Amino acid sequence: MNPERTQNKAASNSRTSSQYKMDRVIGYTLQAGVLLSLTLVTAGMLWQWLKTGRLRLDDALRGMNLFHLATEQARLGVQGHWGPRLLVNLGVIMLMLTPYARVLVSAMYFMVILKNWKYSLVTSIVFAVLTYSLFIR
Amino acid sequence: MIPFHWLFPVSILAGFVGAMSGLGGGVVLTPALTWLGVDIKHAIAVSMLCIIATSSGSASVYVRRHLVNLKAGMFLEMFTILGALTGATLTLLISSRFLYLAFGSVLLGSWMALIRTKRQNGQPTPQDRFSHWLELEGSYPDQAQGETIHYQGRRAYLGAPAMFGAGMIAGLLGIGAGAVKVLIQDLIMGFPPKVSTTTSNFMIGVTALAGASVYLAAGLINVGLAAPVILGVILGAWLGTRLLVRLTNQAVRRFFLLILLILAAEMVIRGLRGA
Repeated sequence: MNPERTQNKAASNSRTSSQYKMDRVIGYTLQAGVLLSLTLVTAGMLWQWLKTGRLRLDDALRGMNLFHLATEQARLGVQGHWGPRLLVNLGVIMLMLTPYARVLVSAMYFMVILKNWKYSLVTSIVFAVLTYSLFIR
Repeated sequence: MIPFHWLFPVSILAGFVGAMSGLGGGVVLTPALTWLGVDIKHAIAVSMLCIIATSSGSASVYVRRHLVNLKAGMFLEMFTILGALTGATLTLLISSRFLYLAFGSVLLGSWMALIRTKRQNGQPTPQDRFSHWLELEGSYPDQAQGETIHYQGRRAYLGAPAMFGAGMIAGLLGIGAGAVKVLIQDLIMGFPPKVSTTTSNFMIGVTALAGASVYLAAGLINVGLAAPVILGVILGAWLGTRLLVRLTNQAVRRFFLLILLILAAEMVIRGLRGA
């Protein structure tokens, strides 16, 4: 086999192994978000069922942006106003924060670990635009 | 208020179809909810949460199985999210009835184009310099074929503006437009069906989040409706991912074609009815 080809293959193998590592990091970030959200929503619904005998929780979230809602609900939690509604609300917030966290983790990974400037730039733009869209009221 | 025993199975189906097709499940959930008596705006708002749940739940599996092309996903989602914001600001200027008809026709056209490429199965063209610069090649271990599949993404210079267009459609109509994302990766960029389906699944979470935040700000997200939907959708998406990784590329393509046809019909009917 000619040396250039061997070198190419080695480069492609190392690219594959770093890709596979990043796949795991992103995969577990998404899984953690989904499982946390699932746990909170399930716990909230169970609590509602034990309290009222019904699964029904009829309530619309007041119109506000995601960060505003997240801080408001977190404050309620800190003040000890725990209940089925707070748990379900936190589950919904956690779900919405999952893709956001995924973009943030990807941007950090490209920047700090892979030092890939092209994709650091790409993911930073996505992160900035997404942050902007989350502040729309 | 819809009873749990209706909402839960419908959501499981939506998550399953969404994870298997790369569409996110709005195609099932929005019409099902409106049929069960939910007003269309609330139905779309919950569908956005459904897409986030399907996308995150299924992508967590697909990414770890190396099916998703992360770089293609990140590069393309930059265009789709900019398109979505542009679309959302233009939404008042264009009649939604016309949009549904136009979108439905585009989907029908793509459906026919996909059927034809299935028969051709032609020679792959060499990778262009821009796509090579973007590092759009990849490989994944295929469970159905028992070997590692290597592929090269192509024509990113066409895929990028097309993704901007897909984002605009999504923003204008308040849908995920996952179908267009799969089509662009399939027809323009030459990814294998499993890669385009799972990469679309990976991307739509971000577009749907931008959409969901608009509905959240408008106070249209009903937690009572959302809670059982989230549970059902995550379960359905989990089932869908288990099946997809075991299927062949042809089977994934065939499933997508079926869902695409249903979606196209749904859009044309909405257009004819006047949304």
